Amino acid sequence: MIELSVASLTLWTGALLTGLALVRLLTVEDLIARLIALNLTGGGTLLILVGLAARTEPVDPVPQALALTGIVITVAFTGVGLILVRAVDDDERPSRSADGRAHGHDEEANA
Amino acid sequence: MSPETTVGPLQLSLALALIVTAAATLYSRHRLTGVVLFLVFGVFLSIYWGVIGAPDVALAEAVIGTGVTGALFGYTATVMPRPAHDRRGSIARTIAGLAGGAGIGAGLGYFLTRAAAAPPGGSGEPVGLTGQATAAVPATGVEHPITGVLLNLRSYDTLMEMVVLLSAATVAVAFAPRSDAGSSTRGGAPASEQRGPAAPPIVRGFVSLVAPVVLLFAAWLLFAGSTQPGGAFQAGAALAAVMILVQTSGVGRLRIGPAMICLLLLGVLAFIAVGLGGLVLGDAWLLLRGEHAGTVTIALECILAVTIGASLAAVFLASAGRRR
Repeated sequence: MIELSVASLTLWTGALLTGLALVRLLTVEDLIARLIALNLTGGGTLLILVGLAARTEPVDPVPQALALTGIVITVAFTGVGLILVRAVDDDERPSRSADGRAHGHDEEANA
Repeated sequence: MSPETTVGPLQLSLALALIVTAAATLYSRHRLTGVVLFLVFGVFLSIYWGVIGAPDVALAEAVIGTGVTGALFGYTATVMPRPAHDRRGSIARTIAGLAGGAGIGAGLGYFLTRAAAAPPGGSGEPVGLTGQATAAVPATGVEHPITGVLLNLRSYDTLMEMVVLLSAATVAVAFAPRSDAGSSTRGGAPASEQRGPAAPPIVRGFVSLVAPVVLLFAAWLLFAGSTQPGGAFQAGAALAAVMILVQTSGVGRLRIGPAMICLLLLGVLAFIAVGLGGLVLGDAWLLLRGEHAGTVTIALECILAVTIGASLAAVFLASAGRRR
């Protein structure tokens, strides 16, 4: 059995997560899936950061504070991203709602 | 937990679960499935943080990374369950993506563990900033090192974090549903439309029972943060959770108005005021020392928690209420 410290396990998990999520982030088309991939990339990065902090006993507080900052920044950009996704979605489907509205006007006019 | 201990089965299985749920989340076909799996991933991640000895990060991950982010994703994915373009994913592409990602991750992990193992073997000096941070914590007036680091030792980071939140809130205000403008063109009942269908009575009853408890929990997190895990960010997120619950269940009606905008600005302004106070009364910009440092830190935390809560709630309102 290989001797594996908690720090190394965290670093490996974070690295694999970052790699997997990064590839998906760069290849997926759907905007919400892209935001989720970005969130997972962020999670992997934080695992690397705290993995580096976990090399000492007790766990280094400075990278932990940076990880907290990172979590808040992540929710901020996720929120902005979702607001923009919503706006893009509203703009990309004008055909349906505009048609519907146009038909509605036509019907009103006909009536 | 000593860094030299070999990992137990708990840590190992959690790490495995993280990788597997992440892969399932990334390659799920449907938006809602992806969001739900992302929530599962968040739960595993916060347990993992707790297990490896980072309870502050665990709390923040649970409340912010999974709670508030999950609410944001969940609402949007429920409103828009299918993508505008058909998401075509062949099995070959999935396997290629997984293999490529695992390859990149393995390379990164190899170099990281090599680099991380290098310094302690050499000089025998302590790694990282643990020693310096714990030595400086008594001067900050709070007992918990992470709160001391966040609000005193590295307050520039936190100030800029509040600026980032303010930027997000600014976008939220810019895209917020304009109920007055909408009602003039559409005519009837836009308010109820924005609010969505009213929640069943049992949900509303549950929310009115739970909301005060969560508020109390937020206050406890805030004041506990000076001596033990917790603090302004976790408390602010709990506050935002109350507002999101109240809004979505229809118990109350929140609106991005002038009062909300004042709350959004308050945090950055208070932080700058404290920074200037340090410059005028003490020795340097943003340097908080002396016997009142603890009191000022806690007062600042209270204000920050309110602003963080308002910002997150504003972002949720803007992303949830866009119906024109």
